[in-house]
Amino acid sequence: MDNETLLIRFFSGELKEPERAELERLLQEDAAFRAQFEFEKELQQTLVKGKGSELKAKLQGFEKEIAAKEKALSADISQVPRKKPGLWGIAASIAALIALGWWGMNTFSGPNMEALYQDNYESYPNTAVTITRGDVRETLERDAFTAYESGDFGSALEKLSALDDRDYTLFYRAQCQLQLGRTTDAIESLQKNIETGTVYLPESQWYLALAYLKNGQKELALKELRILIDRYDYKKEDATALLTTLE
Amino acid sequence: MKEDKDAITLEALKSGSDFVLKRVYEENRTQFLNYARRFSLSDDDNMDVYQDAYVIFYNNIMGGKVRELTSSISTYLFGIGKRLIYERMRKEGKKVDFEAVGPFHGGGDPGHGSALDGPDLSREQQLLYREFGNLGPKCQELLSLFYYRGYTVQEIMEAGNYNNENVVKAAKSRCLKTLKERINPK
Repeated sequence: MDNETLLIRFFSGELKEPERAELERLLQEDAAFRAQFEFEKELQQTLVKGKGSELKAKLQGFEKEIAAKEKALSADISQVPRKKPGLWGIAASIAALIALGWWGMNTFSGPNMEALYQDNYESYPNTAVTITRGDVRETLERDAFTAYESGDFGSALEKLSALDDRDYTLFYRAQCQLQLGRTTDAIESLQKNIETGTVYLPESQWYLALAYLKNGQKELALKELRILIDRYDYKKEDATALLTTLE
Repeated sequence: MKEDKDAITLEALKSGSDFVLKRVYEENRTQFLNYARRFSLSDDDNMDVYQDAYVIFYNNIMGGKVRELTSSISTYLFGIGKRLIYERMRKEGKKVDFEAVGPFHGGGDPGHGSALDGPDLSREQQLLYREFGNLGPKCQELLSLFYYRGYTVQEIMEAGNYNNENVVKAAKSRCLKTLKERINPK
């Protein structure tokens, strides 16, 4: 194999063991080969770092967009127009009240809370335990999250229930219970996490509001949404929109 | 029910789409910053850590260091972030609460050439990067595919409409020679 092919195979990660020994030998004995290797290695590092710096600048640009969006959203919330209604406005309000009364009599309920739940609920990813191929440690924790990631929530819940009530276990138990339709149990787990836990607190607040929504407990859902908006940034936009719809 | 976040695949990220890049960044941002707040780093540090983690995550995916994930994209990104938090706290001499950091399970290895090695370009690397940017687009593409994206010669041949592998090798040699002459003019 010629020297150029050896370098190509090294940089494309295809070098096998006998070739690696040959590469090592050339690096020791051939100054021109070593200089070429070092040049290419330097180019590789430069490209990784250079493209990384460009990406970081791009991410900082995303942050400026997010900050501008959040500013506009908070301005929208604080400046809800309170115009005095004109005659047409009053007439329209009366018509709306009549229509609402008719609709209310027919449904005896507010907004369709199950639909709102379905619109807002999304499964929470496993951010607690990293599972990689080749990790041979078969712990209960790892098994629980492997089941969780594969969507086997029954098995995940069983394993998470065998772990202590601490850290992320309450939050992920609630996630499984929500997926399994055990909403009251999920409410209990989330409340416990909010009261005693140290992690996933804003997330628990959001899912608690959604769980109340699913249970048809509108006032409790409203209360939890207000706490979330007041205390945390997590899901602020979605929570504000949901609060407005419910109110 | 909303579409599952993991609907974004590694392939979609590897396509280099800005839309996907931004979506994954935004979807994980709040969760990560909330998680990071439990440590004694400032909000600016937390944001810096998240962005560094994202750069490493993206470089690892684009560079072919990660060809397949057995966990979700979010889990992998958080794994890198946790390691960076740990590194930063250690460098600042702060006590690390391992229970709060949580288990690594060997995941989230930032890999080589990561921000942990120092994200800034040296003077020589700045010159090299500038001259790389002055090469023709075909050379830039070829060298990026090979040295940054980790493509093999055969993959470059298929991606770049080259007739055979020898044409790719010859073009690569020419591009490297031009670059070398520009940074070391005789």
